[in-house]
Amino acid sequence: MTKHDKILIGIVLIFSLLGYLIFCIVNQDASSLLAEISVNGSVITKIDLNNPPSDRIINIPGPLGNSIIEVKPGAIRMKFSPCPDHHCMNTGWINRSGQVIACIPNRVIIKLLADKNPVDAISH
Amino acid sequence: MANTKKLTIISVLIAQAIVLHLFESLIPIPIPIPGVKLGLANIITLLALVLFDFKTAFVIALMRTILGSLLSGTLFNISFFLSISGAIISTFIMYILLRFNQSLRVNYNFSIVGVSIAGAAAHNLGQLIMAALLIKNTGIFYYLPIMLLSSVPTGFLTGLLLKELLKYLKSSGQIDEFSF
Repeated sequence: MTKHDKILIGIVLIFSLLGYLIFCIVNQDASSLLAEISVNGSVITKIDLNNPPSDRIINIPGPLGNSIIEVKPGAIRMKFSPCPDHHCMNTGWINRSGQVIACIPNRVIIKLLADKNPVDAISH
Repeated sequence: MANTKKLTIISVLIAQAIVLHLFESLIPIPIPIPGVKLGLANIITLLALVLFDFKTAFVIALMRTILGSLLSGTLFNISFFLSISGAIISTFIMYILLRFNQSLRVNYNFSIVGVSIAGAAAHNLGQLIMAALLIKNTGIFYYLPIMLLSSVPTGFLTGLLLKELLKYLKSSGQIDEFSF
């Protein structure tokens, strides 16, 4: 281990920490949670997790088959996925804005967004 | 080095890299993050960079990924594209760092462990960029901090293994000129 090695390790660690901090700062103050489900880059549906739909199971068709997503108030998870390694299922429930469940084989991405302006419309 | 001898060594290195590539997929990783792994096959790529040149190491890395995926049945699926982009970028970055050491103008001195860590970080970064391109969603960069963090211990481990390997190869007289 030379001096430059330590600098290099430091740079990698700083970038890692910086990335984490940026995610924390960007995704602060979630007044309400919105789950954005996209397949192959296009958004399929958005679910308001504060008022989740009554049927808690959502079927999302992907290139490999149906991904089954389960919602409950304030959280979402990949219940079943047809992908080979099931990283997405092992992620479990996610409940904070900025968190992501990625199923790369089936091209399904679940992203939690902070709905900064939860009011749809105001009428006087 | 005679051409035939070089060809033989390259073939043996590719074979070893394929075995490490396959062996690695059998090791379970207790983190539910796609793509976090030890990177054992990277030892061979870095060894090739130390022993030969960029072109040879690049060919070994490419052949290892293609043949390894062919044997594990993942050729041309997602994990193949992830590992080939990681392998290309990490070979490139490790070559640049090794050239820094030889260059007289720039006073850098990375050990083989440092180069290995940089290679692991570059591999993970390349994988993530490829994944973001494949699924057309930048949300995947959510995994960047944890993947960069994981590249430090994994790169350190593979770097130490290579350091011991080079020490052995030198003491047993199988290679004579390298500066580590």
